[in-house]
Amino acid sequence: MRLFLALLALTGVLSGCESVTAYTKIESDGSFVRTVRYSQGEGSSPSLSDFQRTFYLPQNHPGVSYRLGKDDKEPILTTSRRVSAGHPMPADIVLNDQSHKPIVQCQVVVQKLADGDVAYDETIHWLGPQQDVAAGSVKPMSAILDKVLPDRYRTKEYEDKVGRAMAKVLLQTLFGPPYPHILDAVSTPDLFEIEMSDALQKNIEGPLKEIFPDMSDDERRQVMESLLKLNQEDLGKLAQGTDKPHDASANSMGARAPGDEPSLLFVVKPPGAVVETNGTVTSDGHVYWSLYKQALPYGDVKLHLVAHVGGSK
Amino acid sequence: MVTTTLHADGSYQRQEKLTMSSLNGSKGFNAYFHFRAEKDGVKYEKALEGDQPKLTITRDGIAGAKEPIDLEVVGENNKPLVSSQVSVGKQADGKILYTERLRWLGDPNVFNLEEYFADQRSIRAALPPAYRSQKTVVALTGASSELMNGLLLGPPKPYIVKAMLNKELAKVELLDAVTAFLEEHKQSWLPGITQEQETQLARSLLDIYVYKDLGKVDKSKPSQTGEMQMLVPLAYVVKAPGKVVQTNGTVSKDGRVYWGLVPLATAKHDIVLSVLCDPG
Repeated sequence: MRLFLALLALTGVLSGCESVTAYTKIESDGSFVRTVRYSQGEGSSPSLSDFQRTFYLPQNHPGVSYRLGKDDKEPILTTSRRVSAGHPMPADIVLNDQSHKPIVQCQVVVQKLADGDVAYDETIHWLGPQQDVAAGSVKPMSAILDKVLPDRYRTKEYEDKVGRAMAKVLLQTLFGPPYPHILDAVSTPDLFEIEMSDALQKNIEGPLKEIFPDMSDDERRQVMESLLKLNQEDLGKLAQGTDKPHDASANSMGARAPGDEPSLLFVVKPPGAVVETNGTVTSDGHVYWSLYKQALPYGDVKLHLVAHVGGSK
Repeated sequence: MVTTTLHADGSYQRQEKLTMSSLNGSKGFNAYFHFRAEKDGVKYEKALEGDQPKLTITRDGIAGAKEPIDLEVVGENNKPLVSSQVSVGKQADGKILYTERLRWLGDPNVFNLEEYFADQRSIRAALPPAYRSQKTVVALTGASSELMNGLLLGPPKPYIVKAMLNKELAKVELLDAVTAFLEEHKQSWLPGITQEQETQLARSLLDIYVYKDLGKVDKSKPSQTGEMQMLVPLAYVVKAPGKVVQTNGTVSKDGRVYWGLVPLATAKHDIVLSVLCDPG
């Protein structure tokens, strides 16, 4: 085991990168403790000003404790706060862009529901310019859709809606949440096409149901299958909101390689069994979501869970 | 990527797509792989994928025929690290069985005994005192080492590169896998262990196998191509006719079966990929 870890380090992929991990432990009354761990990656100095370049860190917030330290070679900043049941919490995680201006902001709300269950909702707001699909980038998709869409939906309005939904789903499938498949593109590139296709098929179903609520399952399946026939170049244009050929070196969203981008991880320990979530549930009852900020330019991303408190339901 | 397309009569088509980093292109494919010569029905097709040289090797196979080794990944001094040998046969009940045997040909001491005993000592220390019998320590060391090998090196997927690209996500996912493993085995090895002890043990196992070594790594050393080849990602895909009845791979929504691994995954013992399908 030791040998291959050493080998891996030689590849350079062990280079440090920034990350934020938000751990939210919810009590059965709806109160919670929020602990956020910021890491600057290996090699940087453990100073608050270094962290402030990547993250906006509001100072002197009542009830928030700050701890600066090191985890192995990584400088770590940990903030912690307790929030009483029913009390709103201000946005706490803010990611800066390369010019140190806020670009991503996270807002958590925990509510006790009428039936006693507890709901956790976290909205990850994109503060940068809103991306939209380029007219040219929807064309290849429209050509495919024209063959399978029932007549009642064959309008530009619906094509644009599907274009936007597909672009958003593409970005979320690549960059999370709940899971950033872009990591597989690096670690198992030959399997990436198979895994992306499976994940897209799963992720596009919900948005298509919203756009075409009265569509039959068979009609929707045909639309879904046709969308998966888009080639990688057309998918790339759609996701990047451009009708120009994809240029990996000139990414319109300022994306760096996944190992170089700050990663966001949200872990929640609910007070009971999870009955509803769009995250991943672990064997010991935690729920988590992982993402990169490139998932966001088509709109906010919401993390959601409902946990049952008390006896069986 | 090695793709095997099985036909209903048990014959098959084999396609090996080899790619090289554009930086290493000048060395030629033979510096990284050994493969069959372009004769006896073996066809080559060379192309560029972006700026990466790509070689596609295609051949047809007959059901039940004993096939020579198709592919070897090559390490230092052009010595093979791992070999890959396919076998496809039609069974008496009409089902088709595909197996692919991957065998380590590199340094037999790549995982040494000293390391194994060090792991045993660390695991003994990590166990709650009531569970430190030699029998439990040996069983847990063997099984957890197998688990971590599969998780980090594959199959079904090598986690190792991903774990370094996003360490925080890896911690959660690996901890979940180790926790599930302990849950499965606790009745036989750790009866009565508390939830808290189990969580602590899961964290310790990750430290022992993954995290405690990361800090010791010397990143200033230049990379050696031969060593890097131990971690080159390999992908195997099988397209089977009819229904997949049994497999140790992952089945995609469109029915393809796939595995991902790195050559080092085979260093402890052979790995056999298998699919049993019913062409109907």
